[in-house]
Formats: sequence, structure tokens, C-alpha cells
Amino acid sequence: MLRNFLRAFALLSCSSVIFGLCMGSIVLSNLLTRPATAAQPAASRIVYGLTLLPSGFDPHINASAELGIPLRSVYDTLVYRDPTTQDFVAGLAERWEISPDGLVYTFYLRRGVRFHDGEPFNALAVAANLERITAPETRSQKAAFLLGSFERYIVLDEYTIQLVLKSPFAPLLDSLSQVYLGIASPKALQEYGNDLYQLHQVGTGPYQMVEFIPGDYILLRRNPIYRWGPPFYRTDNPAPVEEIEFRFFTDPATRAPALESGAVDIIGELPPLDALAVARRDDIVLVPQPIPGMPLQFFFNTAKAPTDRLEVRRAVITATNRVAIIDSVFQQLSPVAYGPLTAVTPFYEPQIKQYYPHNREVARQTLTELGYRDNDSDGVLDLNGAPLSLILIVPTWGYAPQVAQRLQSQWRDQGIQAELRQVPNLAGLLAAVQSGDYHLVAFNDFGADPSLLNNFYLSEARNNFMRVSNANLDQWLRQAVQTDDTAQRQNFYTGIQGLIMDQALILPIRDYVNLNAHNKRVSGLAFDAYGWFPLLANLSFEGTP
Amino acid sequence: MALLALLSLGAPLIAPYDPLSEAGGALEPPSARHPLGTDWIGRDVFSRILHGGARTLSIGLIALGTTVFIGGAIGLCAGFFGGALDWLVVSLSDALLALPSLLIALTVLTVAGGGSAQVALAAALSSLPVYLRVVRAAARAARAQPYVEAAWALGASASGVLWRHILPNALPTCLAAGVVAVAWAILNAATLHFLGFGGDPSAPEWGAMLAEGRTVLRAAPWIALSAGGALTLTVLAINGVARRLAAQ
Repeated sequence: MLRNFLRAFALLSCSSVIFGLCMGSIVLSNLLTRPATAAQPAASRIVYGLTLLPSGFDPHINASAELGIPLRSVYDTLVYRDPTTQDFVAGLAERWEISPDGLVYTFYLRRGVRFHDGEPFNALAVAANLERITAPETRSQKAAFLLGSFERYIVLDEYTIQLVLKSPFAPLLDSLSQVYLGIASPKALQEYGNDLYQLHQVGTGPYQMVEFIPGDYILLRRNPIYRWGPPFYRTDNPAPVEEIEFRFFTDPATRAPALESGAVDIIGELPPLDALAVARRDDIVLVPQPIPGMPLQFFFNTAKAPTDRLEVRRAVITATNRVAIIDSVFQQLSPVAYGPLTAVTPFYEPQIKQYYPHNREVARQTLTELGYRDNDSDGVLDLNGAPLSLILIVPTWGYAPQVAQRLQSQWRDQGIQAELRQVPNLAGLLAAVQSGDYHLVAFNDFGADPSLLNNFYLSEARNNFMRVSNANLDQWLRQAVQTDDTAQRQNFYTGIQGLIMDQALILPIRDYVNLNAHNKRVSGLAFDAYGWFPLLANLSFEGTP
Repeated sequence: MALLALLSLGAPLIAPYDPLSEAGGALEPPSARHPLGTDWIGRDVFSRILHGGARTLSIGLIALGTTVFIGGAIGLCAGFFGGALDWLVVSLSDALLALPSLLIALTVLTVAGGGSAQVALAAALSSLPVYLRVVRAAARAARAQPYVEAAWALGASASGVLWRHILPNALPTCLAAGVVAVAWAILNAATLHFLGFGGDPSAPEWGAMLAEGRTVLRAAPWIALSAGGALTLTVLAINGVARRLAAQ
């Protein structure tokens, strides 16, 4: 009995000692190792809020503007567009020459540039990027189209490369300055392939990608050896931000609260009312950024009655009170749009403002002269028994539903009936346009070169939502991209903008302004020439680490 | 539920304003003139909620028609007759149950296109697989009862047994499950409107009002709260009806 008790006591004692030793060693090892292994946030780290979850983040493959917000600073481009002067300045190419016939561009590349993975940058790297972008299996949604009439490249030596075009393409420098044609490390491209590269992107820019968890966050860290930025990148930044974490705030209602609570330090695309609310706070700075390109506009379908008649289109524009829309929907934070280009786009023609000032009486008179009367007293004008009813295709983004409802309300007072057909995504919009059963469709696009008009207004353009075919317009649009003479281009684009509005092909609503805001932990928020992409190298950290 | 139905059906008489016209200033807070405030173009939110109720009830009726009558008939026949029809119904509903109901609704919309009627149909069809299984199980349980065997022994025809014995005994389960399916259909329809599949964004619809209200949530919380509250109350009321039916 006693023996059994002693045996049990000894067993218990041994177990206790072993347990104690194990626990002690675990606690001790934790104490010793925790400070060494736990990830320490960098001295200055901020959170930048993204507002959209694009289907992909590979700039050579995907087309979303959102991807450029972090990636503009991961990549350098051969040339840059100065955001102030809009001129092209040196990037990875120190200088370039264009042959007199506009068919050969020779780029002399910068020496001593290294990718984030240590690989050297040279003409072969540029060649590898061009190969990837133009390869059919890459299925590039934007970058390949940006290259226009690009035919082939010729590597002349380690630091000289020529791009040969099939026909002159004046917007090529603009294309080469966009993040979609950013130069990636050939080694990383080769190693990860088209599917995985977006998770392991390697460029030469001022920030390098550290981690990308799709749908969660992207982490960038400052590139300490970066010395080859364009002139508008600050080199005297006393407190550059060491790490930037990009997180997604896709629901507009969450953005201002996230900024106010400190969950995010910088964020864009604030709803106008929220932007006004945060601007009233002392600890938040509102940075409205106009975006070059096309305004929010409704394209008229010129192939379907009654908008096939020029006078009807003119009457509809004249009947629209755009100022009232800007006041209510955009809280006066966006300018009224008057033509096919926003006021900050190169070659914008200010004279365009004279077209179609709001005038209810003129609109009504025009329609009366065309024979429209409210014969059945239902409040809607009709002609030969057919009511003046317009079908509007309305996407869910860009405040188009709100604008369309305002239009519906304004036009109702004028005897014009509006049937709104909302589409939930781009595929739905394109399908609706394909059917041809619409009178107006809302759409816009962005870009710092007006050549983007060719994608919409050329007779054979894939986005010719107006179904317009105008020989003069076609000729001017083509000629405008074939000359690099600035004065000539200005003449062409002045004519093009006038013709588009004279023919009342669009109902412009508002110039796009991205409502960004940041707290006082950062300063120096500025954007590149395309308006969407922040110059992260110029950000200064003002907070306490 | 009766009150909700009354308010919704009587919306044209009760609603103080036209749900599509501007009735005041933009984003006016709730007041005696506008009990639930106005939206961002000055439309009366109370009037829009009432008119939205009629749309919601019509979605419920479409769901009831599709799910309870069509789904009920198929489920009863499958459970009663068994065989190839039963195998087909079970396999099909199993396959559909593997997918989230919203995904089924989105697939239907991809084929049928956007619009209020399509949304109602898609929402109804998305709740069909669950309902089919419930009704089939009720029919199978009733088929095994002694009184059914007695009916067979007395020489009753198959249709006679189905109509006189299976249907009356499976009916309480069918109705209770059907009412729950209607509640789900209403919620799914609101989600689809919220996502922008509803066609006309100016139409007073609770899901669309929620989506629109969230862009001005801080400045005018009454828009989203009214639509959300109406939706919640309706689904609660329908669930109450389902509970009553099940208890009886």
C-alpha cells in the first residue's frame, strides 16, 4: 500500500517537474525570441485607402486606374509627363529622338539603374517588356492598345533601343509615360509568369512591392537606392514615408469615417457630402484633383428616333440644367462640363462653353417647331402619336444614377419622358449598347492625351456608342494623332470639339474631380499628370512613428 | 403583416406626395411635413417607402406563385410518385443547393436581363431548391401513413390519394416553408436591387433606396434607415406568419 503510494507520488513529482520544465522553457523561449522575430512596423508607415477592387493588378494586363495608385511608384516609365507643364520629361530614357517621318523613336537609356531584385536595367529589359505586352497570350486590356501602331523594336546597343511604328502615332510618348507601360524586371516576369507576376511585381521605382494579399492589402517599402526619378520627384524630401499599406474601402460610406478614425491616412473618391464634412475639420486636408480625359457625359444614339434628329438632341441639351445637377449631386465640387474633353485635358478648347446654355423656353420652342405637342394631355410631348420618350442606359458608378434621376425630373417638366435602365456592370452596359435599344448612354474615360476620343468617335471605333459616321470627324481624329506639331494638333482638336458639340453628339455633365483627403500625419500629397496616381515619393511623414 | 399590406396597397391614397416628384428641399431631416425626411433630390422618403412596399409585396406574390404553386406541385409529385421524377428533382435541387441562392439569382438575371419583373422572378427561383426538398419530404412522410395505405387498399386512384390524403396533410408544412421562402425572396430581391439589377433607379424600391441612402449615410441617415427598417419589419412579419402556420 505504502509502496504503491510512494510510486504514485514519485510519478506525480516527476511529471510535475517535467511539465514545469517544459512550460518554463516555452515561456523563456518566447521571452527571448519575441523581440527578435516579431515584425516591427517601419518607423514611418501610413495607410492609403483604395476604393475599388480591380480584377487584377498587373499593369501590362489589367486596365483599371486603381492599380496605378500603388504601382505608379513601383515602376518607372521611359518618359514622364510633368504634372505642372504637361511636357514630356526624362524617365528611364535620358533622351529620345523621333525620325522626321514619325515612324522611328530612338530612346537613349539611363545607366546605373537597378530593379528592386538587383537586376540591371538596359535595352534588353525594355525589349522583354515590349515582348510581354504585345504577346497575344498576355491578353493585355490596355497596355497593348496604348502602343498604337507599334510594329517592332530594334536593340541598337545595351542602352539604346528603337521603337518602329507602322504609321505615325503622336500619342506614343503619352502612352510610354503611363504606368501600364511601366518597365518590369525581366527576371521576375520570367520567374512568375503571367498569372503570378501581379503578386511579385518588381520595377525600378521609388517604392518596391513587399507583399500583396489579394483583396486584403498591398504593402510597399521605400527603395533606398532610388536616384533616377523624374525632375518632379522630390529629392530633398526630409521625411519620406518608409512603408505604405494600401487597403480597400470599396463602400463609399466607409471612407470618411475611416479617415476620421485614423484607420486610413489618405483616401480618394469621397462622396461629395462627406468631403464637405471632413473639410470642415482641422485635422484633415481635402485635396480635390481634376482628372483629364472625358467628362461624365451621355452619348446620344444618332441611329434611333427621335435622337437621330439633330434638333431633338440640341433641344434635350438645352433643356438640361447642368448647374442644378452640379449643385445637388456634386455639391459644387465639380465643374460643369461643356464638351467632350475636361477643362484640364491638353488641347481643351475653352470656347466650347458657348454651346447650349440652359434655356427652357428655347428648348420648348425648338420641340414645338419640330411638331411636338402634348395632344393627349398626359404631360408628355408627342409627335404623330409617338410620345417623346427617351431610354437612358445608366451604370451604377460615377453618380450616374443620381444624375440620370435629376435629368428625368428636369425633363419631365419639359414634357420629355425619360426611361432609366440601370446596368450593374460594364458587361451589362456593353450588352445594352450592343442591342441598340437606347437613346442615351452614360460613360466616361480618362487620359492626358485627347487621342482617347478616337476610341469613341471614329466611325469604326469599338466604343462608338453614338453610332456616328462623320467623314470630317474621322479625318480630323486620324490626322490629329499623326502629327506631333502642337499647333496643328490644337487646330485639329479645336475643330473636333466644336464639331462634336455642333452635332450635339453628347450631353456633357461634369468634369471629373477625385475628392481626396488626408490627415495631418502626412503632407505633400500631389498627383501625376493623369490625376489618379499619387506621387508617393513626394509624401512627407509628419506624425510620430 | 395585414397593416403592412394595407399601407402598401393603399399607398396611392395614403402617401402624401408623388414618390417620383420633388416635394421639398434636398436631404431635409424628418419633420411634420416629411415624417421620414426627403432624399437628395427632395422626394418624400415616406411616400417612397409606402410605394416601395407595394413593389415588395408584388415580389412576394411572384415568389409565392413561383415557389409555392409550381415548386409545391413538383415537390408533391416527386415525393408521392418517386421513381425517375423523384430522382430528377432530388438531383437538380441538390445541385442547386450547392450554390448560394444569390448566385442562382444572378445567373437567372444574366440570362433574363435586368428589370424589376426579372429580379422578382430570379429571387423567387433562387429559393426554389430548398422549398422543393421540404415539400418532397412532407409528401414522402404522408405517403407512408396508414390512412394512405388504407386508401390504396380501398382502390383509390393515384390522383385521388394525392389530392384527398397527401395534399391536405402536407399542406401546413408546405405553407409554412412557402412563407419563409417568400421572406427569403424579398430579401434576395432587395439585394439584387441594391446591386443595381433593378432597372429603373428612380423607382421606389427598398433595396435600391438602401443603396442610394448609403452614399449620403452621414448627412441623411434617415433614407437608408427607413428602407432598412421597412425591410426588416416586413421580413419579421412574414416570419411571424410562418410561425403561426407551423404552430397550427
